[in-house]
Amino acid sequence: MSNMIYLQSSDGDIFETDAQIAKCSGTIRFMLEDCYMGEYEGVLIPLPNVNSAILRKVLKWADHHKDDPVPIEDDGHSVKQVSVFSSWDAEFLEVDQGTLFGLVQAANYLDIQGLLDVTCKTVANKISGKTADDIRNTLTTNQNKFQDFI
Amino acid sequence: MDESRSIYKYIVSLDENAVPDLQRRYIVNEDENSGPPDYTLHITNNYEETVLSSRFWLGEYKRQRRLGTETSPACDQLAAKIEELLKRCAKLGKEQIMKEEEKLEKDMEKKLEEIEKQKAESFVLMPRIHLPKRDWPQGPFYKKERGVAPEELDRILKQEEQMKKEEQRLKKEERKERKEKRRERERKREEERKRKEERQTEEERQAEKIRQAEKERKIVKRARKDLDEDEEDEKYFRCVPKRVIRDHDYEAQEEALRLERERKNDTEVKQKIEKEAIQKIETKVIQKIDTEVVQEKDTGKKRKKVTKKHNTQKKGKNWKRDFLWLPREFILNIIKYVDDKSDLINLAQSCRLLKKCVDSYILNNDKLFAFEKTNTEYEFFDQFGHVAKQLFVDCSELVESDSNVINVIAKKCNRHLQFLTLKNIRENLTALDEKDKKNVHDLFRKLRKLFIIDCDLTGWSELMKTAKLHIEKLSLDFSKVKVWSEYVRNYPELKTLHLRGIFPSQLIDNNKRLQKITLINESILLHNITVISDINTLECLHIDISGPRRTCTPVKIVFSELVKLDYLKYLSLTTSCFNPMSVVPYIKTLEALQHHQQLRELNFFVYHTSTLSTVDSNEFKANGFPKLRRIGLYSNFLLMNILPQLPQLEEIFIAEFPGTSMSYETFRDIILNAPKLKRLYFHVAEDITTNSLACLEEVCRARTVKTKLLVLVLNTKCDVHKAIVANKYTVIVYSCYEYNAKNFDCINEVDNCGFERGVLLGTMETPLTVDYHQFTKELHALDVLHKKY
Repeated sequence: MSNMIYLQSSDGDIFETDAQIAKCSGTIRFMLEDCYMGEYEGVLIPLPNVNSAILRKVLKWADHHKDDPVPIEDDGHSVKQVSVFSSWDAEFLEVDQGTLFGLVQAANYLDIQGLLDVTCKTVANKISGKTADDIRNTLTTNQNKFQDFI
Repeated sequence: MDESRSIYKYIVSLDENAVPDLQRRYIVNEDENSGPPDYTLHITNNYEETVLSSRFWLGEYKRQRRLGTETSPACDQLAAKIEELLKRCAKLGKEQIMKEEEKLEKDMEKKLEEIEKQKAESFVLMPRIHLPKRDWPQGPFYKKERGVAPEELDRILKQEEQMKKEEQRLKKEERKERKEKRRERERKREEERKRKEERQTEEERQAEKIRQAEKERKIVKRARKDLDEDEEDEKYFRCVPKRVIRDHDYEAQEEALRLERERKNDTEVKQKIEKEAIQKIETKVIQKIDTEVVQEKDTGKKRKKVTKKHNTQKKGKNWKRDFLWLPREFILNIIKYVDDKSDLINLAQSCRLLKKCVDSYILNNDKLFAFEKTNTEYEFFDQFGHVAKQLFVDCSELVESDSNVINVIAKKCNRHLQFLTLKNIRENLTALDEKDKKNVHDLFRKLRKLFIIDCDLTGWSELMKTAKLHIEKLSLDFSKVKVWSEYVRNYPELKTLHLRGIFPSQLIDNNKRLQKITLINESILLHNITVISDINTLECLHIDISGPRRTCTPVKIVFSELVKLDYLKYLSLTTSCFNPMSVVPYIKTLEALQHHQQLRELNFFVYHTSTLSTVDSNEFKANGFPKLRRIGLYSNFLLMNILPQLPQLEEIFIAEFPGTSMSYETFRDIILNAPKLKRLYFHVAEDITTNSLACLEEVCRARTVKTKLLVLVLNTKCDVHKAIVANKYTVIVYSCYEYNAKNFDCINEVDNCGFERGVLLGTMETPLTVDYHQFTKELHALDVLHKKY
């Protein structure tokens, strides 16, 4: 039986989603299990640091990866993930840099390790091979867009 | 009384004319009218009053004296006399009272005796009176006059008895009444209490109902919040909910949003262009005004103007370089995924704020390499050496023999460096001048760990003598270490000693506080082990004698000494010897250690399985190794014998995969019956078969064990990889020490399998020759294998 919960983005949109999907986020999982003590049918969770466009993307990613096995934690140490990721992920991350940066921030805030891995790696790949000036220009031009997304 | 009278007489005698009925006054204070009546001594014909007055008078006299009032000699004399008389009076008064009391008591006793006597006479004498019957007047006083007649006495006694009975009855009745009253009161109280309780429960029930209703209301409110526009919510949240998106077709939503954004972008672009144009005009105007102001101030001082212009430019440039608004967390996340060091340098150079992030990342995470063959490494060292916490210096590739490497490091890394590895250093420190020497000394003083691999340490003795080093871990390789063994007593902090190919017993002899010793040695002598067994603080011991010489004969006696080490938590014994005789002492050691109270981890890599088959499994009794949590075994035979006796095990490392000396079924049964097992490490060699893999899969499916495969890639391709990957196990792949092109391809193949989860590639020595304690610890951190291949 699926439990539906509601996620509210910073700009007010409310997303109805399956709790199991939302639980890929460590932040949401903590809120559901600890704050609502497991009784979370129909609860509304405000996410003031994520706007609706990014939240929609995050939910799409989570929906696709819902059947993935839970990553093994090694005594609390974070796992540095593999550089190769699936074609779906590659396609998913073909977005403008502002959205990409927003996804990194959202993954970090929502504590979604898998999404953080792929997004950070994508940003790192984009920086790779560029000169210092190029990197600065890239980051500066996307600065305004980035601000819009968080 | 007499004394009181004497006071009275005395006072009266003070005046010749005094007469008892005359009231006289002796004034203490000269002013007659100033004081209260107590100031005067009243002498009347009543002596008791006079005495009382004299007491008051004396008190007042004393008070006035205390206050410093001058009194007449007559008063003084009178006061002294009265005091003396009063004292005597008080003393005599007590005695008098006692005497009177005694006298009264005696009188009372006498009277009682007389009464008793009279009574006795009247009663006792009565029967003796036998008077003849006469016509005595029969009046009411007849018997009284003659005493109490027996009938009368009986009657009186009966009456008394009746009275008593009556009294008792009354008392009983009273008691009964009291009891009844008490009961009544209790009953009332009980009723009151019950009424109260009922009232309370009713209230509670009501409150509970209210709470329940409130809760239900909240639940309903929460569920409907998305639909209702609540004013309080509006305050709390950033904005009012616009809409509820129940449709999970994210693709269509995105497309709609994209179109909307494009429409918005057009207007945004226009606004942006306008804004930029305005900004440009503004800056031009400001620059012009600045120049004019400077020119007006001092037309002759061109230099000042130039300086001002230069400063403005510099400030602008810095501002541009510094200002990059990106969250620190974001940058730190990105840096973790930048593998190429030149990219990291570029990232750091792009902005000063980013450089700080990169610096802190390097400081905390990365291991720096210096003086290696690649330019990138050197450049990296040059860029970030000042923040480095750990440094690996390899001078194998350096051509110049007299390179000034140590001095360069001492100058560059003097702030944060804690862990230093020196490899192939051939530097004579005696050639350094005083300033450089001080730098080197400072650098070494701050070190916590020092690894020395194949270095020529000629000329280092001065450093060892003069510098008080605080090294916690010392790793020495091969034979050029005599200089260290001489001065090791200077390192009281030294806790870890890693020795390879050498065993200077003096080194250990001089430091009895060691906690961890690793010996990778070709031959261990009996004396050395005796030295080790004297170090009471030792917690961790790794002995690997799997070298080519295989001199194992002394081992026979050696390991029984280890039982003495009370704090030993970790023990690893590895031998690759093919001499069956050498295995027996190991088994004996195992038997001896099984009641060791502290041992938590045991790696026991003894190769010769045929000899082990002679060991009686009964030697390993149940409940042996009480605190053992992790075991590493080479032989499946041992696994088969020991594991069922150790239900407390949480981690097992198996170097020999099932199928060689144990059937799959046995292996499966053993693993499935280990109740606390959490992790399984396998060393999968090239000869793994499909059956073995099937067995492994079965085990992993059946249990929730976090299984890890340590895949040792040897010279041939290993088909198991794809199968393992397909089952989504976490795979850690590493090549053997001397890898070649073939296994390099194999690693690439594994890498390209397309699996999405944890694969780390790297080179390492053959697992059976590494320090397993360190190795497994580092496996958990998963960064040890991050080496080039």
